[in-house]
Amino acid sequence: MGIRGELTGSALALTVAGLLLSGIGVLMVYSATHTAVSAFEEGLYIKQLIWVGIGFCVFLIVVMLPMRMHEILSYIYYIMLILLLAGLLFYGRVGGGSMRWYSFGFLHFQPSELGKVIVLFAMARYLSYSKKPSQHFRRLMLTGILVLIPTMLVLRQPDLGTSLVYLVLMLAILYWSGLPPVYLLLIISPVFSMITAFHPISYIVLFAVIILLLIILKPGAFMASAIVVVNLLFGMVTPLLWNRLADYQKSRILIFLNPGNDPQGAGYQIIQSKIAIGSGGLLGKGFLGGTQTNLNYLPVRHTDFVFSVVGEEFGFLGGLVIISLFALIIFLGLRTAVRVRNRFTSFVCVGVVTILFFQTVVNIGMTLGIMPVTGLPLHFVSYGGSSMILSWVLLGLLVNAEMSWQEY
Amino acid sequence: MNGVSYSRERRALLLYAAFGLFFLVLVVRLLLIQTAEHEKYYKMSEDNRIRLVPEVAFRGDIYDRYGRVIVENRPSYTISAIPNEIDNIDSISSKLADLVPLGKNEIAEKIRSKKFLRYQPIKIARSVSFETVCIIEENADKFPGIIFQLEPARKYPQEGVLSHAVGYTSEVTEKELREMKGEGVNYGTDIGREGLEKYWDRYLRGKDGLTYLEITAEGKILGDLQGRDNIPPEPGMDVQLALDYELQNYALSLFADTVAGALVALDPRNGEVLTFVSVPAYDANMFTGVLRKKDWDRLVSDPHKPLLNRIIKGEYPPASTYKLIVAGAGLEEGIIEPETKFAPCTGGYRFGNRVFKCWNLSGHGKLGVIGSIIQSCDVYFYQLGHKLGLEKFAEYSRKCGFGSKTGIDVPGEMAGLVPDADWYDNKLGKGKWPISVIINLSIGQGEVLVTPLQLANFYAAVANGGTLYRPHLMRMAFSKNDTVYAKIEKIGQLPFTDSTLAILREASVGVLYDSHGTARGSRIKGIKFGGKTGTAQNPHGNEHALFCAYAPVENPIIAVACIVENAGHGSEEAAPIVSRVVRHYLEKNGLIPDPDSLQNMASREAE
Repeated sequence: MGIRGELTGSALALTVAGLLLSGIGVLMVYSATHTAVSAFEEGLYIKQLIWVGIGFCVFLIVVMLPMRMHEILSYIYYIMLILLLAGLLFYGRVGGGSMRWYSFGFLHFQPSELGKVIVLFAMARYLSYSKKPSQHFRRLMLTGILVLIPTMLVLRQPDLGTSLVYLVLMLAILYWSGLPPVYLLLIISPVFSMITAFHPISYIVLFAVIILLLIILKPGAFMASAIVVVNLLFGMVTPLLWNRLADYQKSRILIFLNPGNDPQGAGYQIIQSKIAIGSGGLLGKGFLGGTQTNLNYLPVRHTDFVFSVVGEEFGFLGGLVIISLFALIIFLGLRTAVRVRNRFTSFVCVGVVTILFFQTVVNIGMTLGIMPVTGLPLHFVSYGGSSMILSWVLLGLLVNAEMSWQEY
Repeated sequence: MNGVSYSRERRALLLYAAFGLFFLVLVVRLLLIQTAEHEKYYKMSEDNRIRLVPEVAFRGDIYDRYGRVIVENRPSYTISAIPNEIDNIDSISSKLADLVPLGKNEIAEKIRSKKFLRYQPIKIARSVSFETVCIIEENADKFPGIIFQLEPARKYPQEGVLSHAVGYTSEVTEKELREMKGEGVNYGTDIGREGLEKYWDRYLRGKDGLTYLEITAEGKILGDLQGRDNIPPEPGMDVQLALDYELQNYALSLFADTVAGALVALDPRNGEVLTFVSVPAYDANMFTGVLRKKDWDRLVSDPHKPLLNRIIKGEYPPASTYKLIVAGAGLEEGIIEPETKFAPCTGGYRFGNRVFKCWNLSGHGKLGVIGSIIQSCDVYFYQLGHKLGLEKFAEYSRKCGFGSKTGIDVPGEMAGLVPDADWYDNKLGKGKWPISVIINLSIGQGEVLVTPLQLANFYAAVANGGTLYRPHLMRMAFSKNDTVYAKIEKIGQLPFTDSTLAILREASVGVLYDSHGTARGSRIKGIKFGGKTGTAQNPHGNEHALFCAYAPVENPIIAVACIVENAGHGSEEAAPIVSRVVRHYLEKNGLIPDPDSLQNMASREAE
């Protein structure tokens, strides 16, 4: 391949896993769309095949580019990302309503997808250079701001799924930077405050626990008071806000939390997905044999619900293969994160692994009815150019790190 | 960097554990859905793609005893809605409300309640006019999701000639559908509601077929399902009745338009029902389409109660037609001999300090039992009844088939009422009723109530030598490969010896052929037949006219009971109708020459 560094077994295994997942993806997109009802779906698997090709080229480029370059350019990437995301708000408004992508003819460019990597780079850069202790307040604040700016911009699109990816990414990176897990709990404590706000006793219990943790950990007066204030605020404001919401807004939120309440919309998708997977049984109905898939009962089956197609046509066996391949990539990536010598690269590996892990669990969990419908695609497998290219970028970063693990 | 990598490894452990745990949850959940819940989801996936389209089974036709078609199926248009193709139920409903006789809310409710049928048509209005279908067809774009289908619908004889016997059908309800699971009944299947349609529904209905189609989520039909054979519909069995449709029409025509009444004729040899007239009738066809509210209101508010099946649900005092039972009981109990005479009739009978009047206020004088029947002397029967007593009266009445249902194959029959001491105790209090109730009962007045069918069946038994048969309309049900014959069942035996029956018959013939007979004006030339008049007092209006008869006396083939409500005397209002029905039936059975040939004979003899 003419690449610098050392071609390890892990690097090969990662590449093969990515290719296998992409291959299965193309087959599944074919199965999901070969009984095309609309002209749009016709020949979609060929497009997907092309995306795999493009993705693989990008992968090779990412593998060859030195990690050092990203380390140097990471803040520049970041500024460009913020500009693109902000620009999207205006651009989208012109087109009527908000939007997630820039359109160039047939091509759609979705900055928030690439943003996952860029936010990761920015955090990795900041934390790998910071000399302050991991619990230091300003360090935490700055990391938070670094993530929250793009998160808010993405949330405005609105794209809840992707903004969640950014937040989870932040937690994982902070953890990797040495922050003890209890601090992570404190950081996400406002979320618990929001949830328990409707139940005074649990809210008081939660608050007591937070105070206790703060006394034990002694994170410093500034940090401690910030946490207390934020939790108090969330606990007080949430019920007030909730009561001011219109009924339809409330029901939207409730449906998001429990799609089963909405058998026409999200609930319908989940039920059909479970039917598809459950009816597949251990070995599946065979390639192109899925009735849920081929007769269009399964919604958005070539993108978000592509795992359901696997479950229906290849059964538990097929599902297990997909999950195993992702597990393999994630575990190999984590191993690399441990052994690379460069701090920046190590952060990048953990971040990549977290993105892959989070999206896999949320996507597959959604098709199994244990996660809300967020619109996060399954990497490598779901149809879509942005997602496919990002998948290969992520894999390229892992392989790059693996092959250059000795570099400082 | 060594220290860092050590702490990295420790930190990685938690990540390995967390990631591994989540993946394990996914795998376990996947395994559960695909093994433990596989059956359930597999069935759901099959239910998704398979649409069962019921194929309506034709109901059997109904024929009369000579093979004339009485009830058949005609093609009719049904307007249906396909719920998943309707965007706005309210707007469609209000548009449809202008075309079919249903309210907007009624239509919307129909669609909403069966929305779960998704792509299966919901019947909105049946038997709609061709014009309505044309309007919908021409404006198809304004009626998205509305279709019309050609379906078989029942066609009943006009003017309700047989509505009380045949009844009608209507669409099965959801509750019934659940109860009739596996019987080949589907949404929209018609089942019998009244009359024979209800009683013989299991023969007439047949079994709907099923077509298995594979459909996409959009409702596109891909064709027959592979590997599953369609079930063809099994048409219902045709039913032949013992009823003579022509005689039925004739009998019906003898009732004036303004009266209410009933006429039922039986074949005394086996209990077959020959005519089943209850007037006023209703047009059963109005139930096959959409029942308009104003039609229904008119039916229900009509003082003559067209929906009342007077033959089996009308309970009347039998009046003097009951004297045969009392006379027979007296003879059997040895209270009287044929020649026994009581105190002469002077137009009334004093009992305690009350005088019970005879209908003939100038009195009948001294009469035996036969003469008393012929002239319908009340005073004779007051005395006989008094001697007979309430318990014997009740016992004989029951043995003659009164106070209990005959078991005719038309649903809803009433039992009538044969009062006894217990009944009076319950009704009026123990010992609080006068012994004189028996006086009234012995002339068929007072509390005793009978249905016209019970009367006809009793007279049939008198005619045939004492056997009570179960009256029945259906002779047989038949299909291509099966025939079921109605059983001829004996339900009882009159408690009378042959000699008693002979006396009763002689007396009943005298009613017509004796010069004093109350029905002497209704004789039939060329044949002898027996009968008994009755005039039932009616506290609510004019008296009911009754006449029961059988013919011919020697070899009876018809027994009739007739009541004309609020019409007056049985001899004047009921007997002539019965006489004409009997004559008509005997003529067509060749037992008496028809009037023309009789005239010919007379002229030939004259020559």
